Amino acid sequence: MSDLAFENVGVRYGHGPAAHQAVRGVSLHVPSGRTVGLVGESGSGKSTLARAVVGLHEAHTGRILVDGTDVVGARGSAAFVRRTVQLIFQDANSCLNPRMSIGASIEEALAVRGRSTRRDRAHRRGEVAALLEMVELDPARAGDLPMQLSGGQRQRVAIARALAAEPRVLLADEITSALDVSVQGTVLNLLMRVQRDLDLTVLFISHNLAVVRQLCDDVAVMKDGEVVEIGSATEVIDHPEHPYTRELVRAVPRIGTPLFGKGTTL
Amino acid sequence: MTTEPTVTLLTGTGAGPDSATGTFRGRGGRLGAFIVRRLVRLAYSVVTLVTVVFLMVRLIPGDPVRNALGINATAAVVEAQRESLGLNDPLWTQYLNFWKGLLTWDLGDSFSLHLPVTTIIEQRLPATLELAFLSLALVLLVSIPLGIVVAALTRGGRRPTVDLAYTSASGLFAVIPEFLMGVALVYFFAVQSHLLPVAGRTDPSSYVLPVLALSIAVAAAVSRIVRVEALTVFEQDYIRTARAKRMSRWRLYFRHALPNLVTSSLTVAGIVLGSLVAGTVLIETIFSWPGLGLTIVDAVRSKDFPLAQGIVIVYGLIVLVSNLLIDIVLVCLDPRSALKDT
Amino acid sequence: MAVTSMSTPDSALAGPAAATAVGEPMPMAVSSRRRFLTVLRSPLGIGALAALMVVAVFAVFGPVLWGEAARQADLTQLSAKPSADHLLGTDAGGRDVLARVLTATRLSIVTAVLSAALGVFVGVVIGLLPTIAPRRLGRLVNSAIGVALAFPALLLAIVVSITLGVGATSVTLAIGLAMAPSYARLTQTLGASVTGRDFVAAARILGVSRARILVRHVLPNVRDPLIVNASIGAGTALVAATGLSFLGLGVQAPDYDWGRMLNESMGAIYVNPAPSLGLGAAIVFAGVTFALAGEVLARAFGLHRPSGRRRRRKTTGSTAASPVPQVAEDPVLRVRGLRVEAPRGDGWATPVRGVSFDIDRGEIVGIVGESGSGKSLTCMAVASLLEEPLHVTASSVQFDGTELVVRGKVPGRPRSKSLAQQLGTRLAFVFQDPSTSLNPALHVGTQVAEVGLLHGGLSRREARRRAVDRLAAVRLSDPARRARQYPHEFSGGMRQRATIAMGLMGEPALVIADEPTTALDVTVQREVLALLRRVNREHGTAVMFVSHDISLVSSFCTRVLVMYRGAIVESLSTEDLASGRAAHPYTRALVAAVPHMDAVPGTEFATITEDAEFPLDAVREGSV
Repeated sequence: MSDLAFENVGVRYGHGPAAHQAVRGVSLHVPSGRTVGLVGESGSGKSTLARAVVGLHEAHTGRILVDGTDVVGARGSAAFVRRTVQLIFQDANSCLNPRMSIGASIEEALAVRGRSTRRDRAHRRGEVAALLEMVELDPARAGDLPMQLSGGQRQRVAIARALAAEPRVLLADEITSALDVSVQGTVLNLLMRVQRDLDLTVLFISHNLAVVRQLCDDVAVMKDGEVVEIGSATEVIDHPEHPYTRELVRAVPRIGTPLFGKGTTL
Repeated sequence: MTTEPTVTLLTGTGAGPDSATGTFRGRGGRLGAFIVRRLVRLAYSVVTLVTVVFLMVRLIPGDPVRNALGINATAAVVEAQRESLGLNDPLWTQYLNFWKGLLTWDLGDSFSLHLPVTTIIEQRLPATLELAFLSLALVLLVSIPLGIVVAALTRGGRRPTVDLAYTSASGLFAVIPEFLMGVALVYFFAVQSHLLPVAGRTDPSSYVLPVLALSIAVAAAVSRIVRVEALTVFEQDYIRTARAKRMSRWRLYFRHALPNLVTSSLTVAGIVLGSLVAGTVLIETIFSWPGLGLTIVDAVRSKDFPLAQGIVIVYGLIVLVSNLLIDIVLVCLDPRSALKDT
Repeated sequence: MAVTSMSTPDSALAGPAAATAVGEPMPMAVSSRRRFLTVLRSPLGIGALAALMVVAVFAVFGPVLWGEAARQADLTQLSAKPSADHLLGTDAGGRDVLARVLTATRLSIVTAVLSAALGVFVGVVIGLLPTIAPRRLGRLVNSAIGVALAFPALLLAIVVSITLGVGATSVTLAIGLAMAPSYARLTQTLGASVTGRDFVAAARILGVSRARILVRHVLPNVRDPLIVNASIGAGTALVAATGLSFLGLGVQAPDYDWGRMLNESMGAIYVNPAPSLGLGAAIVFAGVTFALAGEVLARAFGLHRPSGRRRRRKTTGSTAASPVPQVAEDPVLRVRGLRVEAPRGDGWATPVRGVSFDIDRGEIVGIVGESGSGKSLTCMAVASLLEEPLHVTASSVQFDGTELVVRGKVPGRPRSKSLAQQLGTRLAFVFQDPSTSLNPALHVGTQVAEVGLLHGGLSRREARRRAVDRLAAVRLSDPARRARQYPHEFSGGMRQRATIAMGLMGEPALVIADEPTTALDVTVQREVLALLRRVNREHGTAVMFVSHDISLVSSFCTRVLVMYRGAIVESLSTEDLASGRAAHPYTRALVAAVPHMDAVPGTEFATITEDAEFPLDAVREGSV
């Protein structure tokens, strides 16, 4: 039960004349309990925007509100609010510590939430097991190292770790782009299920329009650091208005539709 | 002893920032900006070097004058000497005077040789520079081709015997310190065969043994690094692209791989140069080579701290300036390395 | 003394998540304990351990066993040559050199180990500062390390000894402090590479404290290379300490270490070389021991790939031809029973198991499959580009009418000049990652022109002119200027265009495009594919298009080959694929798993269960 709002957010890399404005004046509302897709091509600033929420980049203008609290440069209680937002990364290879068992990774997230202050090992193990079950992994594998898991399994562990922090907002940054299509569905279904079960607010970043259309309620299209079109997911993708969105939709390959039909000029 | 276990020498390959079109701002301007930035860093390094040398001599417990004059000197003599060297002034004044001296090329007089330190340095510097740079040239000329050839022969687990032989031999040579190599060369060429002169700096043949002694271990070590870098380059996608054009191996290695090794080899050269300069101290001692090394060892033994501190600063400057030059050459060869350096 | 330890900076960070072998799925983790034991039991491990024991035994017991003998002066035997009584002779004081060498082991080794420990400790502490300190302070520490590094350590040690005076303690301190900067830099580099990874970011987002991140996330991931380098560092310190003593700036009488003894024996080398040689042997032995220990540790931690031998490949693979889907009359490419074997662990894997197919002239054929299905290896193999250690066999691979198979194998390079010319001009390749597939050190124009130079008999200038023309043909604006630029000045799409231009230097009969657009955005993807399509139309060039994306393949190609675990399981036209006439269960599952643009929002995605097994047998095409 938490909403996420960007108000005129700007993020830049570097200083002086070499500075690169990655996000320029983005305003976007992710209402409580809804899934909003964020699409755009590489370099459009969509990942940067998400990373700014959790403090991996600092926004230099504007406000990022989590339930009304500005989390830009958060200290003290605002930092606590910020922790109710969790980010799931694209690269399942690097998002888990290779030297820590997956159980320990999840347990660490529990510890930070203060849930395992009771020094009861059995209890903690139980919680880890419950989380692993929630992401459809065998709790007996809690002692495994990330290396022993497949890419899809690792991504599910990453989701479990994020859930251990009892988030209210999830940011999913291209979480299936590195996965095979056969594995992708499992991870997406899992995300969809936990979103519903826990009534999470989700910002779903992807370059795959078909996935966004099926998974998200709303969608925002970013280009060169700005949001160019925003609306309900089916509306925007089925009837794009902005020329850029149209180009984006047109370029999506579909089974059975030749990419270059009879009339296309090459 | 420059361990330099730095692992990321590979600069010539990899993706690098995708600067695409828009952000590219012309080579000249960037090179200029790079040199300015590098000069600023050089200035910063020189200040640090001078400050550290200054403080080490003055702050570490013990009185250099007392050390120099020995325990039998009377307190009054020591005090007079301290006064004349300005060691009784406030530290800040001493520091400023030190800089003033440095900038006017006046580093005081040597305790032991009773000559201006700068005069001694001017006399001895050329011999040391010759030794260091001849060795550097030899190291690069030997180790780069050797590393590439061995890498080409043994890539992808081919020729395990060559691999083993090379790894053992280069590993052995690399751990033989230059002073031992010097002793060994003296033994074989002077004691056993009287082929080459082993002392002094006279005719060209007198250069052979010191340069060899200084270079062999370094060349072995550098060739190992070059080999690893070459093996990495050989695995790059663009080598595959080149192979798809079906060319001779010779062309593949020297036209396509070598340019990508130049950057990392030069980076290594920068590291190695420091080692070679340090190594000259030992080599000069063994071969009675009339350079700075021989002088500094005598200065330290005779507790001649003005001379020792002057020479140390000169050594530092040699290394810093050479590294600057190498960096500039690097940027000219591979403009992307200017981007990485921030 | 300087460099000696540069011997193994190649212990690189092969990182725990090193790239996986040839497109195979991630191999199961080898238990690190087992690897440790394996390495220790190898000849190298045993040798290093034995040498280390010898050094340790002499260091501990040397002074006890030979200390007395080393002190006894035999005044009748001053500077004597080796004899039965004195194996290495005696020194100027008539003392037995061998006994003194052995006794000096302790001081030499202890100095080395202590100063290395000091250097590593100080270096690691300083090197970790940038990871945990605020950014500004971190940057300051960083540049301080840079300055310290520029300064040769031996000279630093000499500066220290100017003030501390000479002696064993000050040598240890001086060398330790002098070594610290390089360990600081190593730690900092390693630390930075770890803190840049997502798991540290994840921990930060969770609110894990800096101290805990350092202890639980950073340290365990930088530990191994540090230990390896500490071991090598002990060797470095030994050499350095010996060198200082040799100069007379280290250990002072009445103490003695190998360096001081060498200094003394040098004077007498003309009359009695034995002591010098014995000392040299001792120093080299100890140095090699530390280096070996470092190498063994590096292998045990998995930082070095042991260059050991592999088990011989079993030649069991039957090249029994699998059914050939759609036989063509005069194909541009005919493949029969292609098999690729790759070393894995101490055995062999077969990522491509006997595939057969034809590609007709002018046809656009897609090969679709998931990671590890062998699709990339297949196209590298038919292009005769796979080399050892991969093993490529086939009963026949005919390209453009020429047989490439020699004695059952597909060689990694053409066996004749004419074949090289044919492959170089008639077969073009577009690779997956445009950011790495062009040579960063050469101008784009030079790379494009090369084929003309190699096989077209063109002069340098003609080749260059044609290259500019080809760059224009792939619709790069201002081709003459572009030809003089480096690949890094190109965008990803432009690089792929340049690669295609490279192929167009000849008269390609076939373009093999291996995931050419996977790294590109969809709009750029469309442009690159349009170009490939145009080449296909204008030059009648066949295209072999490899992709993991079945919707892309079906919307670009006319025919699709589906690969699953190294086998082609189905070949069908894109019409059949689109209208749901795929016969193989895997193909059907794959099609179903692709998210569709007209799916009902909010519904579940189709999945393929992770342990699903599909038959490897191909289904016959054209049942409709």
